[in-house]
Amino acid sequence: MTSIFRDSSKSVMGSLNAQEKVLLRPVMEWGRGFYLTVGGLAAIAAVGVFAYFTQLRDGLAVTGMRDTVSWGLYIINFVFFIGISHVGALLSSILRLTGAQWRHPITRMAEAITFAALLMGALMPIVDLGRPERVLNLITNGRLQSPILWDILSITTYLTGSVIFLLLPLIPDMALLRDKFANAPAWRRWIYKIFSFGWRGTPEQHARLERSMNTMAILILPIAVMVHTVVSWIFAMTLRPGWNSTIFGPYFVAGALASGAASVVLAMAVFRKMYHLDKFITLDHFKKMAVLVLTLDILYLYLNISEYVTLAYKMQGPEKAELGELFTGRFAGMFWTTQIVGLIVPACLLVLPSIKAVTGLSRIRPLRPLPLAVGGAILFAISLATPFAQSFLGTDLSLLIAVLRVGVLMLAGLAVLSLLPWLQARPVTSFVIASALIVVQAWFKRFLIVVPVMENPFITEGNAALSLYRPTWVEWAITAGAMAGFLLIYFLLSRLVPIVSVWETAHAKSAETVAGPAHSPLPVPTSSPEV
Amino acid sequence: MLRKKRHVVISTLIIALLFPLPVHAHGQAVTISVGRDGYDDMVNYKVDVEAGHEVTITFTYDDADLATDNPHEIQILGAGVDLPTVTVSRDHPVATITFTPTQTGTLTILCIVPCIGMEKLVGGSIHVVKPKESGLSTSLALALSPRDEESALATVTLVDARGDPISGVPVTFTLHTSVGGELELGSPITREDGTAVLKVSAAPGQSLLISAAFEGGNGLGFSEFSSEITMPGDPETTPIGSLSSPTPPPVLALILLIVLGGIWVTYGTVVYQVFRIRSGGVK
Repeated sequence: MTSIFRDSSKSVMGSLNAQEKVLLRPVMEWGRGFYLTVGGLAAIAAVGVFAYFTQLRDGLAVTGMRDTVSWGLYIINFVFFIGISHVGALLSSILRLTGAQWRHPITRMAEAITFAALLMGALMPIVDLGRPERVLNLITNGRLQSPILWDILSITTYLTGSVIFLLLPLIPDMALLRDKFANAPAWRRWIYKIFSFGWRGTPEQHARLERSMNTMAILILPIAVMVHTVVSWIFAMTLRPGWNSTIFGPYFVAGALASGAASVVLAMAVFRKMYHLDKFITLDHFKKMAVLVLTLDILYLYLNISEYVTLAYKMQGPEKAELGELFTGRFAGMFWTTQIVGLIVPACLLVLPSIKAVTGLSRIRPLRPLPLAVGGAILFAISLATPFAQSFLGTDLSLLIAVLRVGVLMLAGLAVLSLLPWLQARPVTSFVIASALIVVQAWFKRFLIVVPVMENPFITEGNAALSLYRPTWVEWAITAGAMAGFLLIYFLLSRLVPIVSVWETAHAKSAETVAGPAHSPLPVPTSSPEV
Repeated sequence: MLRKKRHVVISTLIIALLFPLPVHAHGQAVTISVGRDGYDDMVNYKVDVEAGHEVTITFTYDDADLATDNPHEIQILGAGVDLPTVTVSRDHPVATITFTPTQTGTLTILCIVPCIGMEKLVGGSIHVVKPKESGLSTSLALALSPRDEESALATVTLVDARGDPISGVPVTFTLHTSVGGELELGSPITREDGTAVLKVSAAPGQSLLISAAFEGGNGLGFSEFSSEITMPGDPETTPIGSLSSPTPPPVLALILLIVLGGIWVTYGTVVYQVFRIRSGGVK
């Protein structure tokens, strides 16, 4: 570990209590892992910047977008990032307003996700413009009646509100860093001094801070809902089959909340592991978040069913072509994967630790690793030998191949079943896998919302442009760069300020000492190795 | 009234001569010249080919007048086809590709190597349409007449080779839009007398070019007919809705001002509170 201080960090560590030592260690010590992570992410971001300069030089022709499909990966990324950003403000404000004491270790993680995701999300439409210098035209020549202008106004408002909402609870921690880290580099001391706003912890300062935080917690709720509703209106207020829907507002908000909450679970797991925060982010926190993610996942699944079944029942009009592409056509694989693997499987994984019957599966002999491995090896050997046998014997072995495929499917099913007791004993792993699936699903779902609709307009015009969208390396590189940029901002933020609020955690501990521990809605397995 | 009808008939004939309808690739063979100015044959015509039948596309090099070679590597993309690229150049001025499209839709043709005029070589397309049913020949007549100031009636009459009406079958009406696209209007079922009627929305003075097509089937062959009408009356300036007007409606502006103004004023109050913290939080 490399200390950020001019002299040893031992003297600083000596002045901290046990809790502060754990929470401030990532801020104080930047080891090799830190520089490698930053270097790796910066390198990917640099590739994205290079791709963007290629696009600037050669124009949008270097992308896969043409007249018919004029929105591609950039708008998909935009909706994805805005969605991810959703939960930080909402989760934090709801928990703050309801006085949930367990919120303290996770609110800053959530708020920081909002900040980083909004920065990247707001960048994407500018990248999509092709000519970034024309972005001001949206303001100077923007029409107040256009949802595009509403979008700019609401995102700007949301970004400003999120920054304030992130900064307010940071003030006491900034003051702590200012006071304790007198030997830190000048630029860091300057940041801590500026953003601590002269905090001394007087009762008057506490009262003003509490009042400001409560005001922002109330205000940020409707703003967050408004932002994603307006994002959905960009689609829904366009006359296009697939977007002409009245439920797009809540549909987008629910999807955003589900993916945002899932991303908070991922952040919790990563920071817990990376910064050794096991004492602060406990299994109980994961279980509470799992209940939230499960609720939002099921809500989003319900809205998906409502949206698609309404159209699919009629299967008429201009939607027919688009739905055909989704259900059985070019996008069928992606569509069904997002619905099943991205929404249904995560729901199962999130409830898995609460299903007692799963424990009994480990007692079934065929579901143990050895029989499964032997069965898999036999099937694999036969499947390798079958083509040779077919050519050698000169007979049609298609029936055997079909049987082998059924066998492979059954074995895969058994393998999944055999994993369930293992996952049940590791609820955090189960929640993390579920959350990762939901986040990945969120990106592909946005792809499915944007691209198939653009490829199937009301008026088909084959001569005008390519009607099939295939993203180019430029778009993929910029997408990868944006993802890396998001992670980089988030990671650097976690190394500049404590990712778990020090003063609020101390406050919650003292409150817990008086009132007793909070009750968990889900039973905690006593044999769990991850407690 | 009689003068108006005559005017409609004459204008229909003139426009039908001036704007030829999409041509079908007879014998499923298409020749496309490729050059720095684009795909010549794609400029004025849409080329349709039928799914399930073999198609031969011949690309010819059209840049022989250039001092240097300007090779084009052509790729055809689309659902249901997986084709190798072909190259036309000074040394290989003709390239042929033969395939059988399996799905209806649009095949796009693009040049995938840097060349002069590349920006014009990304938008070529060939429409793969349903195969035309063969069978007893059918005949279809389409008459367009103004219904009222805002709509026209498209009446189609479908008969067989003997002139007997064909009832109970769908006829698809398609509007050829002013931007060059096609908009499917509907597929009403023919009545006892072989007619099917569709109401089409139109504005005074607007020209409508409409096609009606019978897909065939059950031993009957494909038939289609196109007709155009110019609606009576002078073109009117459509009253613009408040959300489409150049200037924003005052109510909307007021709502946005109140909502956003309220939010930003609250932000201002919070920031003010933060700066009061700096001064020790004392009132």
